[in-house]
Amino acid sequence: MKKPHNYSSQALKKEILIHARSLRLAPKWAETIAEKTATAVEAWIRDREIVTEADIRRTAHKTLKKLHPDLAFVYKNYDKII
Amino acid sequence: MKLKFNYDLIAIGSGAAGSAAALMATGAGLRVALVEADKWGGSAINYSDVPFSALFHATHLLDQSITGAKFGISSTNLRYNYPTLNNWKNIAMRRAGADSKKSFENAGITCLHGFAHFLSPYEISVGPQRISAKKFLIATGSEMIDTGIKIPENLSYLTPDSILQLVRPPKTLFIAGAGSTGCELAQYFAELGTKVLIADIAGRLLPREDEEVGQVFDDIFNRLGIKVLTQSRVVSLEKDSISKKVVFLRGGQEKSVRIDEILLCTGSTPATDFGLENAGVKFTNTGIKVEKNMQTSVKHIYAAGDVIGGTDSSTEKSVLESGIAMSHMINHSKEVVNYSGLTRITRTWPSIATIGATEDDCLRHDRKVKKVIVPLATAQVSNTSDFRDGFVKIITDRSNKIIGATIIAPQAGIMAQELALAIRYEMTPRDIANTPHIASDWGEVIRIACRRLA
Repeated sequence: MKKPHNYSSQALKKEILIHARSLRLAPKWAETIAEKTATAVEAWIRDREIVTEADIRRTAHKTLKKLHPDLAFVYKNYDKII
Repeated sequence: MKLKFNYDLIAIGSGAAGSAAALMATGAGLRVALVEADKWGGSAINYSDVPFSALFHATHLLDQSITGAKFGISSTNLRYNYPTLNNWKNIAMRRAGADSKKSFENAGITCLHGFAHFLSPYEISVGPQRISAKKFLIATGSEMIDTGIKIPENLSYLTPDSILQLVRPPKTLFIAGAGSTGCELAQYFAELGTKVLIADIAGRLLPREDEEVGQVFDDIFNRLGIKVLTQSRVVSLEKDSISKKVVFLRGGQEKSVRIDEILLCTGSTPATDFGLENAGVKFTNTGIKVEKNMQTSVKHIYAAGDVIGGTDSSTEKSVLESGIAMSHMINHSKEVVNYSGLTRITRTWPSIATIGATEDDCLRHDRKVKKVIVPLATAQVSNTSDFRDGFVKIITDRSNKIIGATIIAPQAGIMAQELALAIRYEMTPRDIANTPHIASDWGEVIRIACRRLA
């Protein structure tokens, strides 16, 4: 389980950028998506002092799905994709 | 190994369902915690039933007084004072226990203020605290639906909750959504002198009710000067240096109107974003899935109230479900929830009460029914009070049992109880018609309607 001060928006953005690179997304666009996702997760986490890693991944996925469904799929299933 | 828990029951949400459950559980000797993220008492006391009823009572009184000249009542200097009206609302809320955990604490319930979040099936976090319980009741209610309307970040708009903070009524008001709440607030503001426009995607006011209800309120709203825009979809809200602007689609054309304030009454959705996945509770965007005894997919977690969805949200429904949940949880009772006879009320003037099925519901399910509509004017009291807007509509099935009713009348809520009983106990119109009713009261219309169906 993660406490909010262990949540790292940098780590989240880095992971999203890695997945975006694998999909050959334009770099600036990928950065914008990562930024928006991190902002959405931070807003969600504001009311919640203790959350799990699964919660953060779920919230990030929800935002990614609106911004880029393919990237959201890869983000969600990263451990199943060879 | 026996697990140790902080509490026997944690109720998440202190609204109608949560508070009822907490009080029942503590009365049965359980260690109970009640968690609330917003105001104690939930939406009924703080944002809807109590404050709205108090405000509507005053404005309906004002409206009736203005038309009192025919009864010899002079209304030349009649006016209202909005701060006093607000103060009255606050008094009513305070008396009902709004935002007060005192009654819960006095009953021995531990009150925790904060956002609850499931960490695992038996543990939640409330702020920095982690607490566990043997059983849970989820009663988190609902939140405003994402309407898809384009709203700039710097544009403020009103919601049914925030409207209670107004310090004066707006000069012009655009209401998006002509359901119960939209119509109640449209009439409220019109009675205060605001120029009101009300829009809905549906082809009539109050689309959840039968067609005749919409027609009656079309006339009433016309008389009040409320402009009704049916088959209109609000696309975006804008703001310029002069005022706010609403852009909407009507008849395939994009139109706009400048207004003081915008009120979004577009409905609500169950509030389920608090880690239910971590607890393994199954839910969809229509609410948490529950059995008829209010158990969720996780046997020690129950849910009641608006969070389980359903077509009609009301305090009575929440309390009913909460009672069933507690009955199962504490007494292991086999009782299941029975919604038959539940009344849906709209606090307009006259008020609207709907029990059981509407004619539209029956048509949708291809159900053959018999119906009768009796206007209020048939009753003696309509003559003595000079009030004619409204009717009683009763629907029976093929075996002549009453399955639904709609009442528009000054005391629709009170009149509805008789028909709620009739529907719940599968009575026929003859049973009602053969029961003496007070000839000089509104109930007489029900007797006349049942006599016509018997």
